[in-house]
Order: sequence, then C-alpha cells, then structure tokens
Amino acid sequence: MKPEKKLTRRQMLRSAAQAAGAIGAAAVIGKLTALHATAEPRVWQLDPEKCVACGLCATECVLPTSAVKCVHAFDICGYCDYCTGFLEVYAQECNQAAENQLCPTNAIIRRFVHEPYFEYEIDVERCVGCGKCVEGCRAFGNASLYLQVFHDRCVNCNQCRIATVCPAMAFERVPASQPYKARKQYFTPPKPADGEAT
Amino acid sequence: MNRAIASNFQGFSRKGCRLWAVGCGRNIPQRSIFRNPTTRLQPTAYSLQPIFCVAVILALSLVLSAPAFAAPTEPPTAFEGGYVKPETIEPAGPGPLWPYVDVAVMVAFLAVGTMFLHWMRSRRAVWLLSIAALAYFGFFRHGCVCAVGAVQNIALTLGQGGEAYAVPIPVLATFAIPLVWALFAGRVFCGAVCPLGAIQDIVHLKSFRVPAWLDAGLGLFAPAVLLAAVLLAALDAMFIVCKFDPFVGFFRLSGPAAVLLAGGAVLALGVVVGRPYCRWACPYGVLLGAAGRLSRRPPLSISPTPCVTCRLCERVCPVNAIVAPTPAGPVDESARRRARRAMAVAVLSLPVLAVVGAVSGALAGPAVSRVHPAVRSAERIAADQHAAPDAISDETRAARRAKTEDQLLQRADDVRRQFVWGTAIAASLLGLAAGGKLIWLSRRRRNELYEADPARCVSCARCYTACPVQRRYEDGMALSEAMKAGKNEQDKSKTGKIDLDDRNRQCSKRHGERRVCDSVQDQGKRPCRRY
Repeated sequence: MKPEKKLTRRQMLRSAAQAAGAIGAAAVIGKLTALHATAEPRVWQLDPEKCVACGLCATECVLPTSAVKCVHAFDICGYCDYCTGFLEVYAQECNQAAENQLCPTNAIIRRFVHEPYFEYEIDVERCVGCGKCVEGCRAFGNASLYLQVFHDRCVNCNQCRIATVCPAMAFERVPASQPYKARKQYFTPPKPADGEAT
Repeated sequence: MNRAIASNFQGFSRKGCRLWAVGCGRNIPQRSIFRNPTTRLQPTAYSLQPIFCVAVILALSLVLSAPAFAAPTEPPTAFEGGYVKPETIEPAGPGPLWPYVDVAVMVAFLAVGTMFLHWMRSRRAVWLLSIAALAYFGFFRHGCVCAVGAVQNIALTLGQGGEAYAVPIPVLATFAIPLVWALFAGRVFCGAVCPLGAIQDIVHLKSFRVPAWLDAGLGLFAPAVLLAAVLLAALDAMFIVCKFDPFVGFFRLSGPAAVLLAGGAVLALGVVVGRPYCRWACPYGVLLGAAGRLSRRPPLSISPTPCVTCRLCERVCPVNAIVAPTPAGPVDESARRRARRAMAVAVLSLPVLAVVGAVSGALAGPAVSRVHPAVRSAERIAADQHAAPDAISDETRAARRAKTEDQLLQRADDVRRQFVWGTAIAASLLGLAAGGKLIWLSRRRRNELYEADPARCVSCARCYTACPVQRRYEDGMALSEAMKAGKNEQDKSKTGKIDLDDRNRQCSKRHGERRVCDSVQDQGKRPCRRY
C-alpha cells in the first residue's frame, strides 16, 4: 500500500518560500521586461563636451595602454599653422622637434598642406590618451582634438575603471549601435554668462 | 577681461600671430619664422617676451577654463592641390552580437556540465569543461559581462528607473539562466561554467578544513558584498563587484597592481582552502545558494547508489558542503534542551540584529555616500569655493566649465539622503541574514547519509572521485550492477545488518594503510580500524 502523504511543517515552510521566491523573481523579471524596451548592448564612451583632459584616462584603464585615445575631427580643424594642441607653450619653433611638441609620445604628425594650412594626424598606435593636446586645442582652437574610447581596443568592462575616477563624470554607457560621441560640427563657444565682463 | 584676451587671440591660429605679437609688444615676422623650421628664434629677451605672454595666458586659460577663451577659427573648406580631408577614425567594436553568443555558449556549457555531472558522473569531464570555460569566458572574452556582476546591472536598471540605463537582454539572460538552472540541477554554473570558480579550482591541491564557526562567520561576508553591490549599483555609485574582481586582471593579463596582488593572494589561499572567493565573497553564490536551497532536489547524489557512509567524500569537498549524518537513535534530553535554547536565542536575536543593522546603516550612510562620484565631486567643489584659481581640482574645473556646480551640489544632497535610507535598509537586511543564518544553524537536522548541502555545493564533482561506490562503478562494473549492489547495501543498512568487513574492505581497497573510516560507527559500536 502506498503510504499516505503527510505535509510536515518543514515541507509547508519550504513550499511557501518557493512560492514567494517564484513570485518575487517573476515580479523582478516582469518589471525588467517592461523597462528593457531599448535594451541593446551597451558600451562605454566619454562625452568630449564634459571631458577636462585630466589625464586619468591614460593611467586608469585596465589595459596596459589605454583604450582611450585622441580623435581628430578633420572637419572642424582649423588647419592652423601655430597649433596649440601640437606645440608646447615654450616652443621656440613650430616643428616636430621633441622639445617643441606637447605630445609626450610624438603621436601627432604635422604635415604641410599648402599655405597657410597644416594637417595634424594622430598616430593611434602611439597615442596613450593623456589628453594634453585636447586641452591645448580646446583652449585656443576649435577643439577638434578630443578623447574617445576606441572600441577595437576597449574590452568593455562591465564597470569601466576610468569611469569610477573621472572627475568630470564624462563616461557613460551608450548603445552599441552608436558607440562614438563625435564632434561633428564646427565648435561654437557658448555665450558668456550674464554679468561677465565684456 | 576674458573676452578682451580672447579677442586678442583671435588670430592665434590660422591667421598668423600678428595680433598676438602686437599684444606682446613686438611686431616681428612671426609667420616666416614658424613656416621655416630651420630658422631659429634667437634665445634673447625679445623672443622670451612673447613666450612668457603665451605661458601666462595658457596658464590662465587652463585655470579659469572659461569657454569664452576658445577662439575658433573657421575650418577651411577648399584646398588647393587636390588635398582631401581624411576621415575621422572611429574603429568599430567587436559587434553587438557577441553578448548573444556568450549567452548561447553559457547555456551550452550548462547543458554539457549537467550531463557530465549527473549522467556521466565524471569529475575529469567536469574539470575539463571548467578549463574550457576559463579559456572562453575568462581569457578569450576577458570575463565581462559575467553572471556574478550582472546583478549590478539589474540593480542599476531597477534603481534608476530604466531611463539612464536599461539592462540589455543578454545580461538579463546571463543573470537569470544559471539561477533557474540551479533550481533544477544545482550550482552547475559554479563548477563547470564560471571562470572565477575554475581558476580557483585549478590551483586547489589539498582541502584544509576550515572550522565550522569560521566558515559560517566568513560566509556572512558574501551576502554583505551582495547587498553592498546592489545598493551601490542601484544608486548609480559604482559596480564594486567588477572593480574589486580579484581574477579578471589575470584574464586580461593586465590590471592595477593592487587588484592583481589581491587576486594572487586569493589564489595562494585557494591552494589549501577550497574556493575562498566563491565561499566567502561571491555575491552570485548567495543567490545560487538560495535557489539551490529552494529546489526540491539535492544538488547531486554523491554516490551513484545509496551511500555507504564511509566519510571519504567529506574530506575532499573543497567548500565544506557535505553534511554528515546525524546520530541515529533518540536524542539526549539535555542536548535537546540546549538546542532549543540556542534556537530561542537565535529567533530573539533576529529583530535585534535587524534594528542594530538599520541604525548603524543610517549612521554610516553619509560616510558611505562618498563612494558616489557626485558626492565626491560636490565635496571637492565645496572645498574649492575659496581656493586660489591655480589650486582648484579637476572636478571643480569640469563643473565650472559645464556650469553644473549648483546642480551637482543639489544632486549630492539627494544622493546623501538616498544613501542614508539605502545603507539602513541594506544593513538591516544583513542583520536579518545573520539572524537567519543563526536560526538555520540551530535548527534540528535529520539526515541519514552523507549529503551535499544544496546551498554550498559548487558541483565540482570532487566527491565522486572519493566515493568508493562510484569508484567501483568506474572500475568497470556496470551502473545497473553497481546500483543493485548499492541497493543491497541500503537494504542491509535499513535492517541494521550491514557487513562491516565488506565496508572496510572497500575503504582499504582504495586507501591501503590510511585510516580512512575512523568515525564510521557500526550502530555506535566500533569504528573502522586501520587495515
């Protein structure tokens, strides 16, 4: 004869816990499903408008050489002869000599186009993402040099290590279909705030 | 003043340096000098003067960082000589399909691992599978996104309302599938799929038995990590599980020295103590353990046929997950009274622990909130209010440039308030977890055989290698025969007529002179002896 099934207190508690767990899990998954409308994979990117080129990108990335590198938007570059993103403050000549260059790794290649234009190209292999040129170009030029996370190098950590220390909070998770925050337009300086001396 | 300097520097870039030179008191033929790299400026006073000007103004610009400083130059549109502007480099990433591939591979690993574990019952196969998982998820995919960290993505989505961040479906699947799997087949994920578990499993040589009290105490660290991870992710502070992941640096073959050293230390400990990270720090293990405990099935049956209670498995289990049989016969009355008192203390301590947790959490909230970048920035901004212009922090510089100082200070206040509530809730939940653990430990246990605790077993299958019944099966006896033999043994043990010599022979057959069965009691009469 089959023994009669008796529900012990322990079994009842276990069943109640199972039910509660199942309901809770269903609630969480339901809520997430309701929210995931735009749920495509995310990647890390930094907003060049917020970036202050503090230099932490070069040192904080988990990769031996940072995945953050300088991008040059040729469309908005002024092709300046005297490029403040290229030259040291105390540069005595405007050429590629090491003592005149702002870039510590000689990653900016300067080429003469024609009078009075010069092209500046970033050698990605040499760039370490220190942002020295970014600050120089932004201070006096068109801000056509800016930092971006290069997605062919980035290992896309779930938590970007640079993002945890970025003083400008410029790092964010962006949809993988639009992985770059490029400066596409000619840089226009914001209007001066009210009360600022003119 | 700012704009005056800015206008002075209109001609700084393309249009030559005439204005600049005038501004510095010299009208020298700058352009020709700059165009011809061979011409050197003489290092005399007149050349130093403009340089000094530039230095001062660059420094000022960096310090004041007013947007009005930027003096844009109209980008040239047409060039002579057929020059074409190069394209801006934007290298493509590995593609959005990879996360889906990872989920598919994970499901495949889970399925194969379950097969190896429950049907093939082969430690070697499970071990090889975990090596493959280490190679794929660890070294090939660099360990991101993993199920261990995915709980944070979900907390972030739920905490921030899904607008700032919506959890991608592959990440949701990475989180949910091993949990659902654990309901039916135990923590196969830990033993066969997780690269963090695999790297610890490889280095593990000998299990040093951690005292039960220490194991239980350290075991509370894992729920604390889970609660902290959920809290910090939900408030968008940071993902601590990822930031302090001890092994991901090995997978990437690079990383901060401190984290790599910590990972090395955990691995070194893992040589003699099985899977220290999994047992005492893994936040996902807490959830998997809960799922395992809820499931109706045992995570695995240590012997393919009924257990002969030889205790060999208990010694090889790296995570202390094998529960010994409780003594048969009536329970001593004083022991029962003691157990009841312990249970009463545990039940009464539950609300006390919860309240203590809530109060201490609320008190610690403002201090904890400093891990949030907005709070950190706001503190810097507040400190820089009266600082000299050349001494302000990058945070202040960024906020002043973006004109978000007030916004940030306001946000920091909100975040601090959220943290007071959040840490109070998290700490009180931790108190409840501690109380629940006390109750769990002081409950009355009844099991007749050596069983794997579903909450702690990580499905590494080491116990299979130790089990003499399993060994007999591996030695060539067909499974059906082994099961028949086991069935006989079980029948004997039920009738109390188990053949002790037979059992000892099994042990000695495998372990020679080693004293392996010293605690196996034959109805409480005599222990197994050295053979």
